[in-house]
Amino acid sequence: MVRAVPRPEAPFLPVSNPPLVAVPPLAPPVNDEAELCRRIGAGDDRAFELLVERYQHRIYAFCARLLNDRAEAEDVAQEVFLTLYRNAGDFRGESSFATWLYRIAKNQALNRIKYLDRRGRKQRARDELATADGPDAPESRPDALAEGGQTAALVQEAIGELEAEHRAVLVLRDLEDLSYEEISAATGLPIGTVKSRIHRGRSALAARLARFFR
Amino acid sequence: MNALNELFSAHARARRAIDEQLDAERDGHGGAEVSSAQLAAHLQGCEECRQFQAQRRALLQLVRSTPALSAPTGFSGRVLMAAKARGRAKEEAPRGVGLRWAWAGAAALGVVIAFAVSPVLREPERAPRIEVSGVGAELPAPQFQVRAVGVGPARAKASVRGIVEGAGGTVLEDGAGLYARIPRAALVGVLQALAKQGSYKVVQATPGELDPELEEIGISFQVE
Repeated sequence: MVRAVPRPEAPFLPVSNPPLVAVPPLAPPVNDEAELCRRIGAGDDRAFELLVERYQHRIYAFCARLLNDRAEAEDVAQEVFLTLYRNAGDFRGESSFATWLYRIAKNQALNRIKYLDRRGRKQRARDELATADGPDAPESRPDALAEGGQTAALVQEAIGELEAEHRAVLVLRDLEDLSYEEISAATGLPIGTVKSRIHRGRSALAARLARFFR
Repeated sequence: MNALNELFSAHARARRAIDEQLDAERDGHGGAEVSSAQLAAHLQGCEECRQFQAQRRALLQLVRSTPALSAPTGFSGRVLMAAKARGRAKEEAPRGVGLRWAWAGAAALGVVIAFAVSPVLREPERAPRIEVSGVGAELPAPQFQVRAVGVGPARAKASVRGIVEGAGGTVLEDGAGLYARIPRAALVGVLQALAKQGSYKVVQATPGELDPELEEIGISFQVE
């Protein structure tokens, strides 16, 4: 996957018709991943290690964008791979392994969001900060999640404020570069719904980042 | 009113088509429901939608220029360890569950006594519980053992560090978990802070009250 080179220092300017980087789609189903899953099911830990190393950054990044919290993202991403470890034998290679893994990640992350929302995540964060004598835990603040400066932090914060279902689809499209078909496979949504959620998610995001478009 | 609705629909369709067109450009193929010719015709006569198109391009450029995120150092190693640990736990898990009484020097500490269930099953949908059970450890004689249940290891470690170091204690980390030494005077406060995470129970490693000579209390934390 090729992504745009980050330019954290470049000021944001609205431009007309900027050249968008052409990004190749996710690789088609790779035979070796189905074979690796078969081996994991047979108890081959090295095969599991290979898949973790291959996908750890993408799955972690996806979880981090959805959860807006490094610690939660690491926990959820770990659970995704543990789910893979338990269920690898169920993957037959009929679909893309990557979309199968993203589907697990999306479900785990959204479940975690619901759980945290029920628990009152904001209240818990206040309690943790209140009991810690010292600086705020940096790894949990949204701005600490972003590595590219204030602009990136604001973008991530705005993404984090989207409705969870819109956030998931928008992140898969605009940050993970999945096609509509791949997002449909990963989310179980019809392509029409995928397009609709992308459109509404982007509109909501644009409203939150309006300052950059004046 | 029909004309107004049609006009509104035309703008709405055009804006959705703009999104699809931008995605198609990125993916290197066509496929918008509204044809490029139709969209181009609409844009030629609609300044608002042209502005929308420009802003949309700018939004996508902004979003896609955020730096990529990488898994933290050591992540894959921790995943492998966790997978192996779960595999072992599955092999070693006793049949059925049993009740284990948890009790404490409650008179000394004023804490709640409650039942413990062993083995403790992860219940992510319930409030996380911090279990404290007194079991000897290889590190210098911890008086208590704490296990995080229903909360992930990274989150649990962050919380424990915050609470223990905030109380003037120190935290060591080994492969399996955390070990803390806290001033005796801070013990109740630390346990109360852990209790805020959810219900908990306390068991001392040895029956009876804590040794009154102890100035520092050791707590072993297991995070899985």
